[in-house]
Amino acid sequence: MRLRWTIALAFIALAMLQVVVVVPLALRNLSRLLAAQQEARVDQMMIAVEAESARLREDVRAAMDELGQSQALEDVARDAAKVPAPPHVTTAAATLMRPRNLDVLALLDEEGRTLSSGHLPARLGEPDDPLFAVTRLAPKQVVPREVELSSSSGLVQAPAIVTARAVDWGDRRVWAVGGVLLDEARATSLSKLTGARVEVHSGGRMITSSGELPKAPIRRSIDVGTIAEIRLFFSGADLIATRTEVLRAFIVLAGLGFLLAIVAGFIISRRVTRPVEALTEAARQIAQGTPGVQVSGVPASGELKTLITTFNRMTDDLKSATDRLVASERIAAWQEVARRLAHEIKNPLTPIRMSLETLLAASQRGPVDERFMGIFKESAHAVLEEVDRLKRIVDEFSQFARLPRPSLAPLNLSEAVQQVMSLYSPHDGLRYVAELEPGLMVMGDRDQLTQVLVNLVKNAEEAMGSTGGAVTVKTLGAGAQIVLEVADSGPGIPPDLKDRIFEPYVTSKPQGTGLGLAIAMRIAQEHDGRMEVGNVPPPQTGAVFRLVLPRMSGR
Amino acid sequence: MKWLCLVLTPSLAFAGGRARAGGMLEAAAVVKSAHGDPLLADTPLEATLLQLTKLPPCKLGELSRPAPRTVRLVLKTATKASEVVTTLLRVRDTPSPYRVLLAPLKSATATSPITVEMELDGLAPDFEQVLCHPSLAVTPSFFASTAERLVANADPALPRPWLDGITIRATDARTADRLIAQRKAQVLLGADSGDGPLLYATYLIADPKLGPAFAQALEATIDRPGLTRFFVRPPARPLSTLVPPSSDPLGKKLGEVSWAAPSKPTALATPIELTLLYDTAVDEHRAVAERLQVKLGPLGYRLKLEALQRRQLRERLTGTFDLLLTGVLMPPQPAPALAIALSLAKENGRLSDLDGLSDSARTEAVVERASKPVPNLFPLFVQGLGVSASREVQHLSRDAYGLPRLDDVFLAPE
Repeated sequence: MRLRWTIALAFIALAMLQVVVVVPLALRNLSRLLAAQQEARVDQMMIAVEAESARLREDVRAAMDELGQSQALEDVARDAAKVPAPPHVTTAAATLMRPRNLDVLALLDEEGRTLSSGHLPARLGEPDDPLFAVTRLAPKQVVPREVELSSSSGLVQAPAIVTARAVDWGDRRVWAVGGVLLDEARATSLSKLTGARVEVHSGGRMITSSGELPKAPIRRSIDVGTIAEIRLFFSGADLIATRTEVLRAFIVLAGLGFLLAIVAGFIISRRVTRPVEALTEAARQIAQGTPGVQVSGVPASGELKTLITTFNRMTDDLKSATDRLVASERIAAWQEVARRLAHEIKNPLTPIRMSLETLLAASQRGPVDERFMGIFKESAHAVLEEVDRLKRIVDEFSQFARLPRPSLAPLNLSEAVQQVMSLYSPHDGLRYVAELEPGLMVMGDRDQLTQVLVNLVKNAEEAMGSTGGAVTVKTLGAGAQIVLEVADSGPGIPPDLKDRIFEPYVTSKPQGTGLGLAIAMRIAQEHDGRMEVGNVPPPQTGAVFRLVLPRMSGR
Repeated sequence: MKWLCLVLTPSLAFAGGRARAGGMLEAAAVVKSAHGDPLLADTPLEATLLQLTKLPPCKLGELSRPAPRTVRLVLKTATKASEVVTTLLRVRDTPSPYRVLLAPLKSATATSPITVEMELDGLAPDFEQVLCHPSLAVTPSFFASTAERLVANADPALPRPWLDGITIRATDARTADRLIAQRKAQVLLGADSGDGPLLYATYLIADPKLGPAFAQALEATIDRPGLTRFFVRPPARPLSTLVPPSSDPLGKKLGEVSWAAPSKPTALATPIELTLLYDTAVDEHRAVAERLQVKLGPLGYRLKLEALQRRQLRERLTGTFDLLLTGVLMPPQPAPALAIALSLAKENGRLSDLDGLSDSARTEAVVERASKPVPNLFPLFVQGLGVSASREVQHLSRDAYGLPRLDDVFLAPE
């Protein structure tokens, strides 16, 4: 992965890490804070509910106190024993109940029979045991009781808070038991006070409710004795709404941060990696052999600037050193070439000089005679031979020096070798054997590869000399490589020459120039290949040369 | 508060040789609502109000029997004979408790614009009286109505010799008392006292499947006198026979009948739930329904209450139900009254053999049958219309149904 992408992804990962780690933590803490505030608000509401409950009990107590001392109730006590009961007695409860905001009022005789009932007039004359039981409690005590009411679904038990007052007339006592129902009106009142949904449950069922059930309700309850439970459901919607808003803001900010991180990551990574990439490209060019590559025009600062400066200085130094080295190598090479060339030229000069001196001495000994002519012919023949040799040396040197760059094209190597080998025929004890694997394709210059083959065959012929033998030429595929192998049955390569055999002017033959194998090596290198040399395994003798080329891809 | 104003144009007629006094009669009526359909407006007060604009056939002309089984009505008002025929046939063909009143009617024909000939299946000696039942009221064509005002055109045949008009204010009892006390009203319809006949009978009808156990539980706990005294608006009295006692000697015997209350049964082992239907327009029925809840609950009968409009209640009457509380305006004659009662119990066939009897034997048989209980019909109480009037209101009388004849009164100058 490129450095630029690595740095950009690192920025993105950091941004995501922030979102993944920071946002949940912040939300959790915020939720705790909001929940605590909500709980505090609900607790305040519940205090208000308790106060309202106390006020309701106090209202009942006050209303019944006033009723207990009223003349109307005294009149009821006075006439309660009349038979039949006068209307003002039988309807008294309903009459007395309403102005005192009571929902429940029963006037009972000393035996608990109903003289009048405001909440259930139909109970007239019937006992009302649950309400009569209130008369046996402590005076003025407001207690929860279930009272019986008529409804469309039949007689039902409804929770109420009631208290009892007694009125005496002579030796007669009339009980007034009254209070208020925990009904829809109370639920509505509490709902308005608190803003919560209020449900009154009694006997395992909900008897009334007020308000809509809020989202995410927070539930509280108040027990009304053992007869009822008032459940309040406060809204947690504020908490959810706040959390949602904060979450939304977090997401937006995180998203923006994320985008900024991506953009910043790309900008910064580009800024950081441009010098590095320029340095990498420069290093690659240097590695490919381009000396003195400089990194310039790239904005950089700090260590990168220092690195670029150092790199440029280093490439300068390297170029200078390389130039010096090349110059010195070139001089050394020319010296070697001059030495070799001088050596090679010097060798024929000695026979030429000796021939000419012999000829001169013969001419000074007397007139031209038959002996002189014999010497003359022999000397002239030797001089010509050496001159030819000099000419060959110069031609090969020229060929080595002027070797052009190969013109690469798809080439069937086996076919090319076959065509060359068809020109050779046995002679002077020499045999030519071709073992060719068909269809071996390379990218190569046909003429140059032909020259390599000719050089190697010639080298083999010269190695075997007059003793004769077999020149074996093979082509074979070896994975991604193709091998052209030329083997002879000569004496083989002396070990001391093996490492230098491809250097110019290195030869084991008296008549060799030492440039044939050097030319072959150079052509091999120009084809991205190489030359190898070895000897035939004993007991046989002979040398083996291999031209190894890359197989043409796509086959 | 609704005002119902009737303006009666002056009549040229004279009554008792005295000149018309004129004036507007102000009446307060303790009524929740008024029905326009005579078949539904059957409480005494509703019938009274209805008869200010609609009259039964017997008040529209003269009735006669040209043949034993033919009754002829010769109209003496502007009412058309065809309107009478239409009304009679409508009542006869509409399911209602009053349908049986016209059971003897074989056919009704308008033989002339003012003559209606009615052919009877039998002798039906009470038929002429039955034609006075308010449920048979016809809307005379001489009434015209505007949005909130009914106007009676001059009709010399109508016995309205004195008043210029009658104004009715529908209100509650307390307001009505105040209006009387403040002399803003001269007549109170729906007062707590009155001396008229009590013919508006209330029955509890039970599903026959409930059987004698329910009848025993109800009769043992109902305490009709207590129920009537404490939960029913007076004038009222308990009703322990199938029809209210009438003023004739035989009918009076019914007032002496008293059904012995059975012993109180033990409570049902498994309580059963019953639905009691009642008329939402009648306050007493709600109170009685609650009383029944209280009384029957301990015996294992849990009553659910379902309040219905009267039209719905009458429709349910023809179908099945657990318990149904309804009131009907009985004719003063025992036989047609018993026919209505038996129709409520779906026992219409019990009177089919009476037609051949003489009047006295027929009445005696009716009284005897009305004295015996029917298993699923429980008469509870009977009510009348309490009417009180200020001193200036003169000649306030009642008809056979105990309904005040407001048309007849005149206002004495103070």
